[in-house]
Amino acid sequence: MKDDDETTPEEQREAEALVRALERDHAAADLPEDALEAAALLQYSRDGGALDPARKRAIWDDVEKSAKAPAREARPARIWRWLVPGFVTAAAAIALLVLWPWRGGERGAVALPAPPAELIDAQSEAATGSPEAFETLARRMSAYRVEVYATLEDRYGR
Amino acid sequence: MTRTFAAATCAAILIATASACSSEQDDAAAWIARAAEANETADRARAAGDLERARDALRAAAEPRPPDGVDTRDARIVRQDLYFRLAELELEAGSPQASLRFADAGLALGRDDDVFTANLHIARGRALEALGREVDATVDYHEALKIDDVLLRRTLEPGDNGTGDTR
Repeated sequence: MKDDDETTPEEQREAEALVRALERDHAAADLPEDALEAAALLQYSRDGGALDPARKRAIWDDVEKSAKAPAREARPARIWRWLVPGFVTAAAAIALLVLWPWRGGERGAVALPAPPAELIDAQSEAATGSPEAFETLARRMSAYRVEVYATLEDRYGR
Repeated sequence: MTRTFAAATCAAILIATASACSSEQDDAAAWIARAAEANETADRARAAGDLERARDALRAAAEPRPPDGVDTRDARIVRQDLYFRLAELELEAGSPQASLRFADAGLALGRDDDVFTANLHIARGRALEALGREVDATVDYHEALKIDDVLLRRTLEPGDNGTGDTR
């Protein structure tokens, strides 16, 4: 036979849930509806539903801790993370595009001067083995050489 | 963080490539200028009868490998012309064997239908003649004449400047 004054485990759980509800102003899911109503009445009759400042601060701290960081704060950081390296890469690519045409012979849009017909004639004469024709070839080649070097110096930027 | 590092690496590679291009340009220009200077020095030395000095100046410009920034064709033209001048100088100095060596060194750089290759064949022919190898000499003279034929045809064709350089 069980004494009526003894609390059952169920009553004990309800009482504990009631205490929690009174302390935090919100009810756990397992709190029976009649106990919740009783807690609300008791709470309201005690202080008219007002929270004391310390309690308010503690609840606010809990809320702040559990809340996620606002999305608005993350956005500027993400933009800067892309903007800086993106800017550096773009600047380097522009520098490369500007300098690339000057690379070696690739930049040479200037064709070498055509050998004059007199030079080709002198070559044909020298190819017969004539020493005089070889002298003439050397002289004409000297004049053509000046033109070729002028073009090459222009092509390579001096 | 990884994206930032990757972008920074790309930027560094691009900057390094750009500076390498700029450096190649300087090296190429300096090489061309040295070759031009060698020709001028050789002209002055030859006029003064100092064949030794002329030879040294031409060899110093012809023998080293050109920098990477110089176009392959331009490098060949410049070096073949220097070797032609060396071959010419040795014939003048009465050393056909040395002349033949320089002509061969020039032709070993490559051949094209241009005045520079033709000059080397003519110099080689003259060196061979001086060495008493007339039959071999005619082969080189014939090569030079074939090139001249191409050059003359090119000068008659509109839009071709006769160098084979289409830039």
